[in-house]
Order: sequence, then C-alpha cells, then structure tokens
Amino acid sequence: MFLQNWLFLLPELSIIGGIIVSIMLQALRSENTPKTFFTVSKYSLLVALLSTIIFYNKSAFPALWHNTYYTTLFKTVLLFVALSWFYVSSKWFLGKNKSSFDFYTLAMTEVLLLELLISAQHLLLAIILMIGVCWLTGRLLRLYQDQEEIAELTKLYGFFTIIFSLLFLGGYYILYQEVLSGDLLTISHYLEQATPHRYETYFAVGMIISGMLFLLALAPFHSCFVAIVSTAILPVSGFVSLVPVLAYWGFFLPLILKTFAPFQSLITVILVSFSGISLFIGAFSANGATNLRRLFAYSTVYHMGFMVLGVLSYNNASLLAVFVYLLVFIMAMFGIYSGFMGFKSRGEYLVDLEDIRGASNARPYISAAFLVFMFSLIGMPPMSGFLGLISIINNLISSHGWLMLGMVLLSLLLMSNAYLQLIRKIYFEPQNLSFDRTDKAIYICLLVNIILVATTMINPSFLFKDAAKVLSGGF
Amino acid sequence: MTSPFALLSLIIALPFLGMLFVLTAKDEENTGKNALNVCIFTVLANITLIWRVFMLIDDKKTTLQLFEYLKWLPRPQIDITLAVDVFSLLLILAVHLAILIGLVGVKNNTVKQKSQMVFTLLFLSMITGFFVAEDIFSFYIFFEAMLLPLFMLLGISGGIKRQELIYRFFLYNFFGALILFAATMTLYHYYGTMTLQQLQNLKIKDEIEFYVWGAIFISFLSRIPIWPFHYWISSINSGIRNPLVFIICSVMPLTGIYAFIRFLPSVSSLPVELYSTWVSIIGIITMLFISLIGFINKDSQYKIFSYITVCYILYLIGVYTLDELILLNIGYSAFSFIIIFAALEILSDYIYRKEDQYGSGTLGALCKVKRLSFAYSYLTIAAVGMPLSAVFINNFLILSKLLETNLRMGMLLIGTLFMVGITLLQELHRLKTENSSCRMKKEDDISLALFAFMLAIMFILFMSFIRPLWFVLDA
Amino acid sequence: MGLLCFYIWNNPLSKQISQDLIPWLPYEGFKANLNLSSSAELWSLMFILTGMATFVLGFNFMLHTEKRYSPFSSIVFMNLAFAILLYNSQDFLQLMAGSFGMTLLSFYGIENAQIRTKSLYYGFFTEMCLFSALAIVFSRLDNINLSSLQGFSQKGYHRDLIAILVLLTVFGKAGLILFQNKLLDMKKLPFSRIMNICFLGNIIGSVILFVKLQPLWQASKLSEIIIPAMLGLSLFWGFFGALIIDNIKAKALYLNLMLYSLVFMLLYHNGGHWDERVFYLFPLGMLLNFLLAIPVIFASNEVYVSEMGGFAKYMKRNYLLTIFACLCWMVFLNQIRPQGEENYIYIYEGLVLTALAHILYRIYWGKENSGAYVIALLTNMSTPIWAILMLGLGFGLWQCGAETPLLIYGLYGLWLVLSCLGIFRFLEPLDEMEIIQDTDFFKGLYHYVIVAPISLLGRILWLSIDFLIIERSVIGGISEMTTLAIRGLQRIQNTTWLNYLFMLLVGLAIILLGIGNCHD
Repeated sequence: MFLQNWLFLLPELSIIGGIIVSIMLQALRSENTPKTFFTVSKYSLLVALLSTIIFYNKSAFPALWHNTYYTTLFKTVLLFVALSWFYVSSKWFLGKNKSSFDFYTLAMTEVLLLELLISAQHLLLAIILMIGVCWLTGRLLRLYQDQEEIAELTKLYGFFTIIFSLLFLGGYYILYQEVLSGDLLTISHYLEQATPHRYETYFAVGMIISGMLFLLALAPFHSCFVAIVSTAILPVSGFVSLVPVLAYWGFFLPLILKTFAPFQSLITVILVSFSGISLFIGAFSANGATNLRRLFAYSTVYHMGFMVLGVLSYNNASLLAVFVYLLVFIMAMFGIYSGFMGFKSRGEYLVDLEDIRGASNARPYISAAFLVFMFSLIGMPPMSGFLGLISIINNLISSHGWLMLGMVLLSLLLMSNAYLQLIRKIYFEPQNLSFDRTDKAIYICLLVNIILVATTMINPSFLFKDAAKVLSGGF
Repeated sequence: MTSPFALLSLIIALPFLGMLFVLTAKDEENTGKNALNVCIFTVLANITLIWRVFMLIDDKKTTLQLFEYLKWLPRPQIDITLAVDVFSLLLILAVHLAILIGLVGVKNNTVKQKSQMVFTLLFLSMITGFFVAEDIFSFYIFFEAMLLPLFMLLGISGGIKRQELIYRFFLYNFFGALILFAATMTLYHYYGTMTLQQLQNLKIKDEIEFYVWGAIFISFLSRIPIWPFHYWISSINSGIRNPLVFIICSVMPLTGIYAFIRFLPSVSSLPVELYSTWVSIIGIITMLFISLIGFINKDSQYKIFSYITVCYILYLIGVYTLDELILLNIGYSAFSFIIIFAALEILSDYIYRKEDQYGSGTLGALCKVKRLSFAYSYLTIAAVGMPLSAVFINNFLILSKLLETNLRMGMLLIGTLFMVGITLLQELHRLKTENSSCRMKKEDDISLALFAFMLAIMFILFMSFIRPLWFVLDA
Repeated sequence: MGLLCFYIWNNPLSKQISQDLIPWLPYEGFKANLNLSSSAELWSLMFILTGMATFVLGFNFMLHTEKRYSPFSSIVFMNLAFAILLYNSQDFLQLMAGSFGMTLLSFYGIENAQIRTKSLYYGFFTEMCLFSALAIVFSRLDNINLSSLQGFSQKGYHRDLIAILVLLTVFGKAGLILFQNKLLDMKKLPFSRIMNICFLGNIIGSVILFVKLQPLWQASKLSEIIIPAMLGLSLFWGFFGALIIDNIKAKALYLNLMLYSLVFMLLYHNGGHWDERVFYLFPLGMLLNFLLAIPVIFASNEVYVSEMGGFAKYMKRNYLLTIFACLCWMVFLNQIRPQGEENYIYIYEGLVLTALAHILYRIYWGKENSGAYVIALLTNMSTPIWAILMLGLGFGLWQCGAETPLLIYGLYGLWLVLSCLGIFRFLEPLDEMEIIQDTDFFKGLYHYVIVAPISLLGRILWLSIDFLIIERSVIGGISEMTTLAIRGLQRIQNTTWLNYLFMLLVGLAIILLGIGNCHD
C-alpha cells in the first residue's frame, strides 16, 4: 500500500527529482550548459507525463488530491505544453548563452504546484498552491532583468499577490467556519443543502472567486499579468502565458460547476461582468499596443473573457466548450510565442511592432505560421479556432445570452483589428531590420503545431468525442 | 444522386493542393514564374474537372445533384453536405475563368508573385467550397474563410495607398460573417443541423424569425457594395492597381447574391417580405448613387466598379422576383458578366500600365493599337448589355419582371443601367479620341497570344448568348 | 449573296415559307427561335437593297474612294444579312438582335474613331429605348412573339410611354431631328461610307422597326402629334441645312434627312404598314448623294461649296450627267404617285429641288472661288463610266417617261433655269458665319439640359452625402471614438499604483454589487 502510494506519486516525484538533480548539477558541476537543465527537465517531465497517463485514476492521497479522467486530461495537456515550451525556451538560453538553471528549476517547481492544483481536493491546499505559484511567477519575473527597472513592478505584483492571497485565505476561513472542513466535496454537499445562504457565505465565495479571476487574468484584475508578460524575458513570458492558465482552468471549472454550484446566480453576475470588461479592455487595449507581447497579453485577457462565457450554461457542454477553446487557444499562443523566438535581430529578440515590419520577406514560413495562428485566434474557419468559437457561441445561445452574444461579436471585431495591424506590419510594410538566423527547432515546433491545428480542423471528432467522454465522466 | 469519386470535394481540394505546390515551388530568379505556371495549371485542371461535373449532372433539372456527405463534429452535431446544380456550377466555372483571365493579366508581374498565387488559389478553393456547400455550417465556413485570402491579396498585391480602407473592408465583411454565424448557431440551436433546402422550407419560430432573417439579410448585404457602405468599398476597388486582385474583389458581391438565392424561403413570411422590400429600396438608391458618381468620375477603374455594382444589384433585385426562370437566367448572365468585367479589367490595366510607362494620360490610347481596340470595344459593348452575350437576355427578363411589379422602379433601373452604359462608353470614347499626346504606338499593341486569348473569351461570350450551356456535351 | 440567291431560288414571289433555322432559347413562355421566311415585300426590299449595294461597291471600285476595299465590302453585304434577319423577326429577341446588328455594322462602317464612338452613344440610346419598350410589353403579355403586339395595343397598357420609346428608337436610329447630329457627323467620311450607312444601314433597320412595331406607336394618341411634328421639323431642318451649310457632304446628309422624313410620312399615312413606294425612294436618295459626290471627287476632294464655283466650264460631262440625273429623279419621283392627300410629297419635291438648284448653282455656275491649282486639277468622269450612267438613266427615263405628265418636264425646265440664275445668291455670306456653319446647338442643348444636371447631381451626392456625411461624420466619428477609447484605456492601464488600485477597486466593487444583488 505504501509502495503503491509512492508509485502513484511518480509524476510528482519525477518532477521533484528533476529539480533536485538540477540543483545538484548547478552546485557540483561547472561545465553546465543551458541545454543541461533542459535535458534534466525534459526527462523528468516525460516521466511525469507517462506516469500521469498510466496512473490516470490512481491517487496516493485522495483526500488531498484526487486523480480522475478529468484531471489526467488537464495534466497531460499541461505537461505536454510545458515540455514543448521548455524545448523552445532552451533555444533562447542557447542563443543568449545564459544559464538556464533558474528558469528550469523555478518553472519545474511551478509545474509541480500546478499539477497538484489540478487534482487538489482540499481548498486550503489549492490556495496554498496558488499562492506558491504566484510567488514563483514573481521570482521568474526577475530573471535576467535590471532589478532597478522592474522594482516597481515587482512591488506591485507582490502587493497584489498578497491582497489576493488574503482574499483567498479570508474566503477559506469564512467557509471553514461554516462548513468545518476544507474538503471540496464536503463544501459542495454542505452548500447544496444549507439554503438560504448567509451573507458571509456569499462573501466567502466572492472572495475565492475574485482570487481565481486574478489568476485567470480577467479584467479588471489583469494588469499584473499584462505587465509580467510584457516585461519578463521571452521564456518566462511564454511560460506564464501558456502553462498556468491550463491548471487554473482545470481547477476553476469544477470549483464553480460543482463546489459553488448553488451560487450560480452570483457567479453568473460576476463572470458576465468580468467577461464583458475583459472582452472590451482586451480588445481595445490590444489595438493600442505597440509592444508585441503586450498585444498578446491583452489578447489573452480577451480570450479568457471569452472562455468564461462558455461556463454560463453550467452543464457538461460548458466543460467541453471551455476545454476545446482553451486547447485551441493554447495551440495558437504556443505557435505565436514560438514565432517570437524566430524574430531576432542582432542578437536581440524583437518586441516592438515596428521592428517586425516586412518580416514576411525574411521569415516567410514564420510569418505564414503567425497568420494561421492569428486567424485561428479570431476564430476564422478553416482554422481550429473556429471550433472553439462554435463551442462557446453554442453555449451562449443555449443559455439565451443574446446581449453577451452581441458584445462578443463586437469585441471580436475589435480584436481582429488588432491582429490585422500586426499582419499589416509583417506582410504589407517594407522590411526594416535584418533578421538573424532562426533555429531549426523553431520551424519544427511551428510545423508540428500547424499540423495539429490542421488535423483538429479536418477531423475534430477525435477531440470532441473523446474529450467529451472524458470531461463528462466528471470530476 | 451522389457524386462518384467525391468530385465535389476534389474541385474544392485541388486549388488548395495547388497552393501547397506553389508554396514549395522553387523560384531561383525570384520572378514568381514557377508559381504562376503552377497556378495556371491548377486552375485549368479544375476547369476540366468542372466541365466533367457538368456532363454528369442533368442540366434540365434545377434541383441539386451529386450529393456528398461528411460527418464532421459530434457535439454540436454538424454534418457537412455538398451538392451542385447548374446554377452553382456556372458560377464556379465563371469564377475560375475570371481568375484565369486575371492570371494572364498579371503574368508579367514579378513583385510578390508567389504570395499572390498562394492566396489566389486559397481564395479559389474557398469560393468553390462556398458554391457547393449545401448545409448551413459548411456554407458559413466557406463564407467566412474566403475573407482571409482576400485580405492578404488586398494588402500584399492590391497597391492601395490608404491601408486603413483595407481593414475597414475586411472588418465590414467579417462583421457580416459573424452576424451570419450568430444566425446559423441560433438556427442550429432550435432546429439542429440542416441543409439549405430544408432551411428554405422551414417555418422559423415567430419570436426569433425577425432577428434571424434580419441577421441573414445584413450578413449577405455586407458582401455587396450597398449604400451607405459603398464609399470605402468603392475607394478600395478603384484604388486597386492589380487586375487579379480587382477581379477577385469584384467577385465577392457574387457571394452575397448567391447566398440570397440559396436562402430564399419557399414560404414567404412577414419578416422576409419586409426585409426584401428594404433591400430593393436600398438597392435602387445604391444603383442611383453609384451610376451617377461613376458618370462624373474620371477614373476608369471606378467606372468599371460602378458598372459591376449596378449589375450585381440588378441581380439582387431580380432574386426577389421569386421567378425560377429569372433565377436560372441570373446564373447564365452572371457567367458572362463575370468574364466580361474580368477581361475588361485586364485590358484596362494594360492600357494604364503602358501609359504609365510613357508618363502620359490615357486619352486616345486606343488610336493606333487595333487588336487592343477591337477587344476593348467588343467587351464594352457586351458589358453595356447589347446582344453579344447572355447579359442581354437576362437584363431583359429581370427588367420585364420588375416593370411588371412597379413601372416607375423599373424605369429607374433602366435609367441607371443606361447611365453605367454611358459611363463605359464615355471611357471607350475617351480612349479612342485621337490625340497628339498619346504615345502608345502600334508596337504597344497586345501580343498575338493575348489577342488570341481575348478572341477565345469573346467566343465564349458569344456562344453563351447563342446557347447558354453550349459547352455541355451529353455524357 | 449566297443567302440571297438561296432565297431567290427557293421561294417564288407569292409563296410564304417559314423555316426555323436554329432553336434558341427553350424556356416555357420564353421560347425564341431564329426565323427566316420570305415574302413579296422582302423580295422587293432585297432587290432594291442589293441593287444599291452593288452601286455602292461599284462606285467605290470605279472611283477609288475607299482604301480598305474588302472590309468595306463585307460590311455592305452584312448589312443585307442583318436586314433579312431583322425583317424576318417573329419575336422580340430576334428583333433586338437584328436591330443591334445593324447598329453595330453602322458603328464599324464609320472609319473615323471619334465619330464611331459618338455613334455608339446614339446606338446605345436607341437600343435601350427599344429594349425598354419591349421589356414593358413582355412584362404585360408574358409572350415574346411580335404577333401578340396587336393584342397588347388593344389592352392599352402604358401606351404613351411605349409609343414614345418606340418613336425614339426609330427616329434615333434614322437620325431625324434631335438626333440629326448622328447623321451629320458622317460628313467627315468618304461618300461611299455615307451612302452605305445612310441607305443600307440604320435607316433600313428603323423603317423595319417602324412597321414591325406599328401596333405599339399607333395605340397612343401622342403619335398623331409627335410623328408629323418630328417629320415636319426634320424636313424643314434638312432643307435649311442643305441650303445654308457650306460643306457639300453635310448638304448631302441634310438631303438624306429630308428623304427620311418623306419615307416615314409615307409609312405613317399607310397606317404603319409596308408601302412599296418607300423601297423606290432609297435609290433616289442615293442618286442625289451620288450627284453631290461627283464635284467632290473630281475637284480633288474639295468639300466646301464656297471654294467651288464655275465648274460647269471645266466639268461639262459631269454637269450634263448631273442635270440629266435630276430630270430622271423628278420623273422617278413622280412614279410614287401620291394618293389622296399626300401633299407632303410635293412639298418634299419642291424643297429638294430648291436646295438642289442653289447647290448646283454654287458649284457649277457661281463665282469661281477655287484656286488655280484646283481648277487645273478638275477632271471629268471617264467616258465609259459616264456613258454607262447616262445610258442607265436614259433607260430608266424611257421606261417611266411615258407615264410622266408634261408638267414635270416643264417644271424641270423651270428648275434648270433657276439653277443657272442662282436666286439664293444672297445666302452666300452665311458661309463665313461660324455660328451657323460650326455651332452645334443640339449638343449644347443636350449638355445643359441633360448632362450638366446629372453631373451636378452626381457631384452633390458624392461630396455631400458620401464624403461629408457618411465618410467624414459617421465613419470618421466611429473611428475617432475608437481611438479615444484606446487612448483612454492606455492611460488608465499604466504601471502606476493608482491605476492598479483603481482596477482592483472596480473589480471588487463588481463582486460586492453581485453579492448584494444576489443575496437580496
């Protein structure tokens, strides 16, 4: 039994092992290259991925974290994305000839916490994990940055992390006082039966939800996310945009669809408001952005707002809709960030819109990939983004959200305009700078990504049918 | 009747495959010649296939034939249905021929030829799919998907100085597509997936009927340069300096007309009657505006645009006569009409480029160039509706029907047709006015090969007047 | 010619045979076929037209007025083919196709590019009028057969509008008043082309249309005013033009204008049915054109009458031919035998002779105004050709002369004297007046009444509504608002504590409001 539990912990243990090995290599070995730590993390994540799939419904400590089809699905995707991003990031470190120890160690730690978060069964544990992730993100932000320049941002981020941590903990405390348990299932049963609910319960739920909204980068709590993504180095920027969001959604969905199900009315009000603000702030602000990463950070805010709408029908279809959209979003954003790796001039990765003018002349394939991914993000057929759009809109109409539908369409137009500005820079304007040679790995990543996008579109049934089965299996 | 060898899918896929070939085609001298050749070959191959399809269908029947089915999404359940009839096949063939003409017109271009060919083939694939789509989802997918290549062509090869016009154009069309999407999803929500034929016989619920039909009308109208949105569309069309791009842009309103025909309900309802009345009124206003402005505008491109727009709107108004004979004749006429304006455009561009070369105006440009003069004159005379092509017969039928409905409106329409006819004749007169500053010499005439091509076009036009489906041999 | 021979061989005069050559459009209620048939009238018409065509070609061949002989010949013969097509029309489509064919041939018959495209405007206008009229008829009848027109006129739908459209078509094609510029523009062409267009081209088409569409224009009472007015005006306008205008080709065209008015008057008074006499007027008109062509050709292409004068001395044979031809003209015209109250024939004859007298005086008897080099180059027609023509005319005169009253000969004598005396000499100073010779009043009329208001309207619509209201105000407004919103958002999303706190507070406020709302 004891051994069995350790076996079921293999995914987590392999990541921990990877971290330990990295620390030991850093301490004991001097001839480390940027690739060294990537290799370590690669193997540990691979083992974690395989063992996650093998032990898909096995849990070592089911009271704390419980593995199901649902969590396995999210974890698999998370590990796969993390692994892929680690691979792409290694090129950055290789190019810059900088040590990747800090990045991989911190990132792996964050992956571990996120993994645990997805399966977390105890609210306090989940909160602690989320706070941990925030703290790690703060550390990642400071990597290879001028500390004076980012001091203000670090303080702001720290301040807000504290605020939302307090909100999380406060909410938990209030709930615990009432339910006398931190177990999500217990909380769920209690809240179902104990009606009418008190003001305090509403507050508690509101506080916890607000923390989640901060983590999901929904406006108006998005500022930190945007600042981090646009300021941090490219590997961190990409990591923060792609990986945690999977875990947050993986945790968030059962939280509101199951645990806080009796508070649907409150959640709907909050989510609709935040979604509306996110859609408009995301779309408008992306239009005004001159920094590439800031543009896509706002784009993320926008898409998060969009995804939230998929939840509003509160059924299995919501799960599928959000999952499909999320997957499609991650695929596209991964492609975008991989593309960023290809836009380099005189050793510097380009961040300004003006810098990538005429990039289609120098980097036609990367530019073509950008085109595919951006139109996928708009939801334009025949790209896979259209599948995500269908799912969410279908849900919206099912729940008779006509006003939201109108807002969605309007904001989509605005968002498209922002992407079109970028396409214009890449395709329609004359080249400004000379571009450095791009690593073949970037092209491979982009090619694989495009194949996935194409396959998903041509034969989406494997995604919809199988994912639907898994998701409806419940959490 | 089901399609053997998935012919319909093949005619959609072939340009797409051609596009992939073009992407990989070598271009050592950077002239784009290889890309052009591949493109021309692909288009010719597809024309051959289309001709084969013509021989498989029963051209006496007006119903859809050669069905193909594909299960696409399981949830929401979406099945793709493809089918054709004489009408849609004629339009597909016309578009292919128009693009072939456009390719001939750009064969001497060397700037960004490859990207132009890529997006041209992509557009061709999408628009072919649009014409064979028989269910509401595939219809929408192709309706929207053709915007991407169009936008890219406008931006890369259009030569338009005011770039913001291109965004406006794209966003306007995209908005229309989104509205259609909302309508499609609403219909899906209430009635499940359905074919267009089923939709024509459907009685939509009263509470959503107004909105659904309103959305459908707005979305299709967004493709047509209808007042008051015609200003920037006309600015774009008249600003395009690439004949192939102009032709593709000018084919877009056809998709709106076709969509109206396909969605025409067999059972009239109050919203449809109301909206169709508004469409007719706006259509007439547009015709008046465009014809008057075309008359005073000195730009030859604008004159051609005004002619194209007025004809399209005449077709649009003809659609709502709900007469099967007229609907079929719109197909016959559109076939000739598209070829006429495509050929006229490339000749116009030829004149413009020659005069640009000499740095003089186009006054009297056709004085010394007999072959060009003959071809241009023929096409102009056919364009104004004289008995040289099927346009003549169709105009007669539509106008008769409209005169029957409302004499004043009919006479107004005849007046606008007369105005655009005079506009084109004005241009012809200007080009043929003997002028000492005209520097085009006999050597600047079109080559024999191009002239032979033009003769072939004229032959097709004339034969279409004699017998609309003259090229269909009994299988 | 082959087609014609085929008809002559196949179809004796009295038989009426219809053959559907090509089945065309197969739709229910819209069946159109290409029909060919024959009748005595067609036979007469084709005989005359073929004769005229032969004359034109012979004129061209003998006198070398045309450089591109083969293309010109093909146009001449195609005129005949389209005339057959038009005449045989049984339905609207064939009628319009035939009419258009004749317009197109006239277009190609004009060598001058500028005049050619101008003629296209007229042609387009007339074809559109025909198109509109038939479209209205089809909309009511749902039948494209010409035989149904009788029934349509009885029902009386839109009779005035249709009558106007038909008359505009016919008179526009012919080049009568209001459209005479179409005719007069041809003064820049050689005489062979003028004769081809004026006698084998659109006029034939317009005459056939006038007869075929008779039920349509006859149904309206307006025709009773418009037709006589138009024809009368054309006749007098033609007369004054022939008298006053210096250019000899223009004079010929004015004489043609007068002829057309007579042709249509005859048809009109015959109730719009075929009148055989009409067929014989065309050769007479062509004869007059030929007579005026002679001094041009043999005077080194001098076209201005004011530069001629006293040519009788130098071109005796030509002059003799001319005056003999005039006699024949009078005699042949007399064969028309006016019936009843057809006094307009006499009016026409009188006006033509008056004009002709003045013209011939100016050319052959008037003061010598041409330079020495022109005089030196004046020649006579070659004797064989002259002889053939004289014999031909003589033969014709002999055939008709017996039935001609002596009064005609007497009138001819009087006319001859008048042509030598030059009683209209006082009009000679008008040659110098540019306002009469060159000013195109109708062009100005069209420009200020039609073109300018349309252009102004177009400009107003474009500038005020399209540009100012839609583009600048509405679209520009939306664009500005979007930019403002973007800038505003950029300002409140700076990395400052204040902005971050503001966002935080907004979010928390929403949550609190939500709680407050839901708990209540």
